Amino acid sequence: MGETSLLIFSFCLQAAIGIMLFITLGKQLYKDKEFKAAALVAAVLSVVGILASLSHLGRPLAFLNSLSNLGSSWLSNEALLSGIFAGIAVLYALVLYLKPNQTFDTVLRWLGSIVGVIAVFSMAKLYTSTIVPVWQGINTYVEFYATTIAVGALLFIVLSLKQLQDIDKRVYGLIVLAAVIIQAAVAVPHAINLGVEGLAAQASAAILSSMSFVIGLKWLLVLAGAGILMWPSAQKADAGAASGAGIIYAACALLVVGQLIGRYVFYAAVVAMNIGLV
Amino acid sequence: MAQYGFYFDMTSCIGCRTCQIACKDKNDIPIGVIFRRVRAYETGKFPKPGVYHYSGTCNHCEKPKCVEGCPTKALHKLDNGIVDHDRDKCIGCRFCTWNCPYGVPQFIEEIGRTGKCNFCKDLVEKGENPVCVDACPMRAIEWGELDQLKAKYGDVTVSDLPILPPSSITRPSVLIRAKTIALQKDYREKEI
Repeated sequence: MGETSLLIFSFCLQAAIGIMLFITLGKQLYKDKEFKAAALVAAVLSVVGILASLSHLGRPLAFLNSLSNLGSSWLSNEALLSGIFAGIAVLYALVLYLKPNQTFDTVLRWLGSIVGVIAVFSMAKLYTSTIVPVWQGINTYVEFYATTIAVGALLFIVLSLKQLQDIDKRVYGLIVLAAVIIQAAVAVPHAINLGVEGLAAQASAAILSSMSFVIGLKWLLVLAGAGILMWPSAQKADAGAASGAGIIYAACALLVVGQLIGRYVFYAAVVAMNIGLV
Repeated sequence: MAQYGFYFDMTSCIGCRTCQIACKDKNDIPIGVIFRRVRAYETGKFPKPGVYHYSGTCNHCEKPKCVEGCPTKALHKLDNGIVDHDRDKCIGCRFCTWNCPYGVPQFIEEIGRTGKCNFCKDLVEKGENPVCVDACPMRAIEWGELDQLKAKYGDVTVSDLPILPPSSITRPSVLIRAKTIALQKDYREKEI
């Protein structure tokens, strides 16, 4: 598979956007808490993602040309929105660490969340607008938003264990569980329907079928990760309480690995429409 | 605005691939990349087997998805309808390879950019023919303004075949005089 850089870009950016969304939610629920570690990781993931996207290009140094067709090209739109989000994420982390300012923090947080949500839409729209049948339809949108929410929530919790100690995390667990259940409910019929569409779709269905063990593992890990977060002893976990924290680390690791496998499959199953492959 | 297009006479094509080679030579295309490709298909079975060839390149579509999706505007339409590619603008993102239903733009590793047929616009501007047209020993390829080609061949040509993506996606500027067997859906591509 030759799309490793795109895998890293889309996964890191969505994880960073998810973290930003949950920082915003966390600040709404607990006004006095700071989520500095989460903000720092969101910034680092954004930068890693952007650098990975540049490494995909044949001419990385000419990357600014990618902004020349805004409006018409969803790749242009995505490049702009991802760049703006990364800028906001880095600025937010810098402000939190170097010169906290409540009004500025709030503006950056909300702006980052709004731009991030639109950026995820543009990523999904980019893929659904191509002539690759396995990417078309609502599945890509659900896959991307579910990854954003689930990975973002788990990373946010892991990075904010101290701030969230003694706080019931089941609300996050429910959000994550709902996201991954919807993800699975859309993905399974999507994969089944591919088999009855055109030849390119059928070729993708054959690839998915040959990867059924890996795909099964993905759903096992993703659902287990989301489910473990609902475990009672995970609710009072903090960095000092080994067993509770361990459960949350395990949930995060399972879910992140599961979603990474899913993203690998997303790119591995690509078969584009072509002459004789309609 | 004029719209140039190609006419391909499948009933004359013998699958010799001279057009393919002439195109490679003229454009100095490296190994593994082909701007005009000839494909061979079998249909039916004994006692009524059939074979036909399809010589295809960029269709310089009226509604090109590659142009719509190109983030750099390297791919753009000229006043004469040619879908041109500006290599100075191209950043090698390969998005066009996921947008053309005919698999035309191809990534050229050596230069870190994609490339495609530009209708031999340098020759056309001098009043000459694209090299594929001149190279064909069977005179199976013609070019011209699409309206004029339609007036000349409209009654005997199609833009849709079972092997081709629906013309409604990009409205290709190509007219095909098809063999009857090419309308059958039981095609199988043959490597030659």
